[in-house]
Amino acid sequence: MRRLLGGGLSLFIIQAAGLTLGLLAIHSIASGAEPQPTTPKDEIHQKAGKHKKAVITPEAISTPVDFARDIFPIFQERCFTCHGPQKQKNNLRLDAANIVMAGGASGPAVIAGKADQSLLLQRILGQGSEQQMPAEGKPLTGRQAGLIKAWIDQGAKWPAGVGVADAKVNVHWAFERPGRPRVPDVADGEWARTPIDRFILAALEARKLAPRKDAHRSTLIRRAQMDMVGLPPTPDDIDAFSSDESPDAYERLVDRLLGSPAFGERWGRHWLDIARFGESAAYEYDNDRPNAWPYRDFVIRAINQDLSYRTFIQWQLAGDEIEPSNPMALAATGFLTAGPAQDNKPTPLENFDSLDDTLSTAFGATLGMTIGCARCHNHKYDPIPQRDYYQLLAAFTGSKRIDFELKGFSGDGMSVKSLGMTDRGPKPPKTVILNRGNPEMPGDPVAPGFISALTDSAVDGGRWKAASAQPEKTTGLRRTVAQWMADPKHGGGFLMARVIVNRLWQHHFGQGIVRSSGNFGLTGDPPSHPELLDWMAWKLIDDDWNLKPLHRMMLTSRVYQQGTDFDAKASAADFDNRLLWRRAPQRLEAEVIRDSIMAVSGTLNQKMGGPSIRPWIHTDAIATGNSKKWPDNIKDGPATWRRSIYIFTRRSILMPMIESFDGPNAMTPLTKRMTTTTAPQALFFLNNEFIHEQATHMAKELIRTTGGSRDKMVMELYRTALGRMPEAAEFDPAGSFLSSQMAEYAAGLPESERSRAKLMALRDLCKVVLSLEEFIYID
Amino acid sequence: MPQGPENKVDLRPTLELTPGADGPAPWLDRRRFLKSAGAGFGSLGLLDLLMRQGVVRADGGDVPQAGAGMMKPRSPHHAPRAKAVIFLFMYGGPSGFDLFDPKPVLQKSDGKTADFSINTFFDGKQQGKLMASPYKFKPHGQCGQQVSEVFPELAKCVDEIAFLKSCHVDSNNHGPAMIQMNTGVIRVGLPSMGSWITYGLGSENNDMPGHITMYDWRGGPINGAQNWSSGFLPSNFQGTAFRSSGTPILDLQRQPGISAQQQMRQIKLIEQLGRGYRQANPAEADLQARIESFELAYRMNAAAPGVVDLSGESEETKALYGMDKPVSRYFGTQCLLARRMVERGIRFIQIYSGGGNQQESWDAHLGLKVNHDMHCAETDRPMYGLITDLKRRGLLDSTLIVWGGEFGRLPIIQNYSGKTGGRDHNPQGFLMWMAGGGIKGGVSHGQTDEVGWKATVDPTSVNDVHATILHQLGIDHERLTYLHDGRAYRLTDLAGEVIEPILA
Repeated sequence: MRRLLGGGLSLFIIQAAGLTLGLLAIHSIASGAEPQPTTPKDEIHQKAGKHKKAVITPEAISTPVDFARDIFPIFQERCFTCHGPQKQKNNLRLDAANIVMAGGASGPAVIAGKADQSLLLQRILGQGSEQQMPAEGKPLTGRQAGLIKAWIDQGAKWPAGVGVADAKVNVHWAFERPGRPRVPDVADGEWARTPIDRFILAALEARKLAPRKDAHRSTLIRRAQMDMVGLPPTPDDIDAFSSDESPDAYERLVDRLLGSPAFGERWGRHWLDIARFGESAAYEYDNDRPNAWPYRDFVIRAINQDLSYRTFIQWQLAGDEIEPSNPMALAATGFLTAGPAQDNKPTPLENFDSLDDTLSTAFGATLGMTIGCARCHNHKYDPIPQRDYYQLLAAFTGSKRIDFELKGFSGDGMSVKSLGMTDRGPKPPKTVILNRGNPEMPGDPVAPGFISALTDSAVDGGRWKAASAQPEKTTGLRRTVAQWMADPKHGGGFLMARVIVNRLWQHHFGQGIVRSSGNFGLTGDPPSHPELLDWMAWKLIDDDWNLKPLHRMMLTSRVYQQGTDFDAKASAADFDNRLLWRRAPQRLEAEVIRDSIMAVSGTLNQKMGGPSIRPWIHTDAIATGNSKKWPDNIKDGPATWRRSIYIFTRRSILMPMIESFDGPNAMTPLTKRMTTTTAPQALFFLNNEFIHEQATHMAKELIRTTGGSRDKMVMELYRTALGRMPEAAEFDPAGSFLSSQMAEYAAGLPESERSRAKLMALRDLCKVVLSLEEFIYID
Repeated sequence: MPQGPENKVDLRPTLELTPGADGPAPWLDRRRFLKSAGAGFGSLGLLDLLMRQGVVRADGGDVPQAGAGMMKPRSPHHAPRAKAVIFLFMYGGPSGFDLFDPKPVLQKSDGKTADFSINTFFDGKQQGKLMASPYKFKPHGQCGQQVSEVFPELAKCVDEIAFLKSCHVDSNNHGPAMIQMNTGVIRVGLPSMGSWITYGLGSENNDMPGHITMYDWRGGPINGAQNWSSGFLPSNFQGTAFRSSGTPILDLQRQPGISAQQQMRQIKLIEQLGRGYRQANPAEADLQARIESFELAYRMNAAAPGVVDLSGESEETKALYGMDKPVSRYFGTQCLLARRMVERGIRFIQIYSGGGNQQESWDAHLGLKVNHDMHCAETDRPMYGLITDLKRRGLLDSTLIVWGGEFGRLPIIQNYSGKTGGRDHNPQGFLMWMAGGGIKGGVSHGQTDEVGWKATVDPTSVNDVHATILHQLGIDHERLTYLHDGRAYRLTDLAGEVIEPILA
């Protein structure tokens, strides 16, 4: 524990973490003296179903067996490492009678009186398709097996006082398959509109709290629109919605937003953050990846088409294996090539780092698991042995980067190149466990496998058989992992559903039900509403993994529509608003700020897709890198005034504006944007060329539409940028600001150019309004 | 996993709510926060949250406040020897045994084939021919430290310097090695040391960023801004690129035609028109910090040009830094700026010597002598000036200077032209030095083998270097942590030991 946490962790952290996670749980897992998995080589073949198991003939025992004397010591010596007080692989612990009789993942271990039908004996003898036990070391001796057989046949008597009474199996909530929670009853049935509301309200009522009153219509449309498409509503949109008295006005708004192509551009960005998508390699030369963009377009289109989330994920892991002739499926594999890679004579360690990064990103994105921790040793907190990591890795070690030729991907019928992943051939290379994760310290080989904690071992082996049965160009291994991952019954599907439901929730409500949305493990945050999370996970699975119905349900919930009013009493009880007693304002992401500025200035070019754009950035920013691969002589215009998701992500030269507003660095997965408030952000609003130019456009347009009357300009500016009329306390200072700036500008200009003073003054006022909290936050 | 109901246990942790209060966010009220954090474990849920949000130092040290106030000074773990760091980063990888660590055996073995094969970056495993140093050495100072003839000025300072002669990194390639020298590990994405240091200590300057990077006149180094990235730390701790002339910081200069008065009016109006929104949302700390950020921006606009305005510096001082000679003017100016930043309480300053690729940097593949002649000439007098000037102003004791690149160079020859040869990358044994800030002068630590290929005695890792830098600043490197992705990260990864023998 000390080592993993960085050695000198203070009492503070341990206690803080303990409070959240249950201190005991951490200690028992962390201190569980798990030996390094020195895996017998034959186990691999067993898993692949090829192994000839050790034949054990149980000695015939006719004398009475004494459990405490004859059996328990065998368990202690050979089984407790995996099935004992600390670790309970497949939920089986052999130190407790109640659990032995009830059984673990595969069912009762012992059926009293019927040794031949007892799984315990079957596993010891290596019967059936399952792995022979003990998994490590030599098989039991004939005498030991005979004693166990006789003990069961003699009635499996377990005297009191031996082992632990009424023991429990420790399963971290996230790794347990969800039940089907009942929608709770609430006192205020009037308020709740959707099942989501009932879950939220029940928790509030339990703490004697109540939700805020509904937000105003004008607030609501701005909230929904920013959230769903990342662009502010036009004044006309707001007027139409505010005056629409039909009962389903809001539902129709939500449906319109769900159908907008801009929905994919907004929500695609969330996924690209997790995929740490970039278009250059990073490191020494930061080489361009000119064919990376089709992956970005795949993400946007998949979201717009409501491609089932299961398919969305499966294609990203193995689109080339699942639908090799579907350009969308091939483009999807760009997920596996989206990260940084040291491509200048990489060392084995650097190559392995890159592979590790791919695997860690994939499992963090889909299952919220930090499996990278198991690269060097068994995961210290989560039930992920080092072996699991390499078993999963085995599906990826035979892969290589490739430029697919996609026909019919772009609208113009031209074929495009798309960077993605496929296998080198049908035969996977040997994968070995690396001691301490170091490629220079290879250990035992492993066959492909899954995360054991999420796997129904009864189905496990069959999958790999099926994978190798189909002769084709690839190994079929990534496809097999993808199938396992999305299988809610026997694989990781239930966790995959929980994780994506939580991500959706995080973006709609500002924080996840599990706040650590990329980490559902023991070191992650506990869920604020576990039943709601599971209820929605089931809804997703039942809806055939289509996400739009879930978005719709979240948006049409009453809790989504509540106001932001601060309440001292509620805040005193729940400062972080974990129970959602109010709607908390959110700072907009960097991209949404940039896009919104262009939208209200009337310059936004809504062209979708295609190769990325490189907007103008200051030569000083370009010069910070050694490879100055960014055009410094272009002028911004309609070609670059496109949505920010289309900006080329050069890892060594990030757009300064995006960077300063906490945008992604495309190096590591970003599960939640930070919200910092820094001086460079203020400098952007005050001095940056982009906002200066946009504000000039906006001012010109306002002068044109209002005829240039001071009062009208102020009103129209407020309406366009903030979607409302200014109040008196705003109107007056804005007006006098215009007058003062104008007088000063005019005084500095020659007579013939004085007419420009109005434009310049209004431009400054536009910049002020675009700098306001109300513009860059949503209520 | 089907389970019988009798052994199914719901181990879901129950939700702990964090009590707050009406009024401003608790971390804005520092006294109240510290009281509650120290009051017992009842309020640790709050601490945990704040830690995750990055508004509290994970070791329970002083609380960085939200927003722009995150740069406020915070107390260290122990009494510091240094208040500021100037890291002179010789990008490309300078050759230690051609500059400070002569190898007699190498001198005698020129042209001979080494009886071992050496991992080279460009040519794989090589039975390369050894190349003697083209430079002559002489002992200097009280300590008698050998210094190459290309550093005649710096040689006068050896009694202030501790040489680390056995450094090593984990990559043979510039990109990852630079990332490691800056962040502790070879893969990208972690916070740089300047970010860690300002996260831990804040800055004593209220009008300027606390973490500043200046780069070469030829351009930035490999990896660009990743070298001074804040990684997963809040972006407040990101290094700010600072140019030594013109507009020092991006977006600092007002657009043409806008006066200071007009801009101030703009800021006042932003404050005024946003007041209602801020008052309606007292719990949002980032929102409350916005006006402060505009004010800081405005102050930076006034303060940064003051840093680069050298009109108050005497000609003698400028000459001390080599600014009177074209070859050393650029780096000399940056060194003088670094001193001026230290005087202003800025915490971490990094200056890159070398930009672009190959000979533009210290990456002397194509000719060791021509490369090092040039880069040494650019930096020799400025470094002498920096040490001398800091010392005479009484600042050297509290300012830690660190010199080094991402690795060193091999003793074998590369790209022999018939006249001169280059040297390839050497991550296994290279030289760095430190001066000032509580470092013992005139000493050496560690050794490489007789030709300078591998560290043999007291190998010094990058983690050790970082641990030592943090230690001099009063930070225990094992206690400066940040929770990210389920793990408490630190600058020194899982290793690092303070290099005790070089401490004064």
